Amino acid sequence: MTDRARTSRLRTVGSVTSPVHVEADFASHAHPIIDLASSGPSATDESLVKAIALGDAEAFRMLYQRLTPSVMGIALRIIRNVAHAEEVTQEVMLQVWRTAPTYDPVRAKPRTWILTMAHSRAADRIRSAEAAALRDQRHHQGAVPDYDVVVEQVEASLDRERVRHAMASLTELQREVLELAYYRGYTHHQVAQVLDIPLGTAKTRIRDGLIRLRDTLGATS
Amino acid sequence: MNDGELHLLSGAYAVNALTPDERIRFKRHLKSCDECAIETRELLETAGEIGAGLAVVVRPGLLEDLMAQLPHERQVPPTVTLASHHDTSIDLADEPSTTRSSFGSTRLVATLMAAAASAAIFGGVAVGVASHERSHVDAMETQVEHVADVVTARDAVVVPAVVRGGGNASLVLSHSQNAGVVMTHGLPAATGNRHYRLWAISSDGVAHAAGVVEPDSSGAGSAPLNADMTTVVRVAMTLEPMNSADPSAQHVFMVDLPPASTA
Repeated sequence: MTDRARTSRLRTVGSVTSPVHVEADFASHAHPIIDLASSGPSATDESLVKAIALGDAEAFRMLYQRLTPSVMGIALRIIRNVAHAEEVTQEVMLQVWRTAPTYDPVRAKPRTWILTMAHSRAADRIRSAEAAALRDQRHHQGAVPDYDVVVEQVEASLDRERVRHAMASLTELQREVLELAYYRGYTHHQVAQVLDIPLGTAKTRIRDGLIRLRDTLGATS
Repeated sequence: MNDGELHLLSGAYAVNALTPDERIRFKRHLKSCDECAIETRELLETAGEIGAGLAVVVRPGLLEDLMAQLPHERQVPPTVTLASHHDTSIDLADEPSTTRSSFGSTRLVATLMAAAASAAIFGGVAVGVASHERSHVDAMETQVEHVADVVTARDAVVVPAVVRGGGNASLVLSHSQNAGVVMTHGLPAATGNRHYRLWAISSDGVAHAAGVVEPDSSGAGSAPLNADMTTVVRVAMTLEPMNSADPSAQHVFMVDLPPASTA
């Protein structure tokens, strides 16, 4: 990113960074610099994360709007409680804000990074004994809607159709293990136990299923 | 578990279906196995796509709640990891910041002590582990891989210390790994061409330079002890002129290592 691009962003978020410093250093720029390519609606997820790393709250807003439907969807699917899923969603997105400066694009796309975090946090929560007790408890906290209501308000998305199609390409056995591991947050030990299959079978089946999904999704993207 | 079996864990890793213990072992494997690293990266992406297929409509109030919170949330500095330069492994399950965010490393250390004390966590049983503990452990793992290897060792022990001049330090030791790390919190900035130098002191009283802690703006930092821990009886830190070969300043903390039998 160029210094000029950085300048414009710092200026818009002066309260978060250091307004005095910014004014002193960059007041000489005659024209405001609008950098739509890296923080506008057409920005890639990656450029949004870069902008967030510099404290750009508007870039965060945009990334939030793009990715929280999926983050919330994952959390809700695993936890099955709207209030808890919302908590996980907020935790994950706050982590994105805090740690954007250390995001490394070589390791993963922003979406992969964030959705992996969502799954991990949701699964952690459901695996903890404390949360297990809360799992089936229905919370009605003020504006928090009911689970069924939220689940019905699905995002009409191509992603959903692509995944449905890809899941249909799996064998029944592969689909079963992936549903337990991904949708329910089971460890492969739990998967093996529930299905009464050897541990080695559970892990190879999860892997085979994912590889097939990868190939199917790769072919349609 | 041998390497051949580790190979097959990529899928379970990608859907977060490994126990913490297995995760650590698999991540080590990824460092030395490019094939697995590539496959794992792809499968993580695939898992993310399954997740994207679950999207729901998010209550609009949530975004505004979080936006209101942002000005109070500190972001981590961009170059904080000790391990990232030579670490090509993939870990996205959690994020590297927790130690430097509002939680602070004191609480982290407390968490790690609890974690180390609990065989359940690293013995492969995930049930019963509160999620924030896992998250903190994961955070360390990601941020400072060397450090994490030590603090997540089954026999990790933590020796806390108060730093003269301000802040706290913790020495985390693993006898099984013959390794130690120092983590700090709230350390004042080093001034005047000095830095925080670690010293490993052997039984004959000789202090060997064992690394440098470079705290961030909040005074949080961590560094592995560069020493053969079997010969070390004490660890100290000084605020030291950068070019000095021997400790020239009074230590800001010094701790005795606990005997191996108690670890």
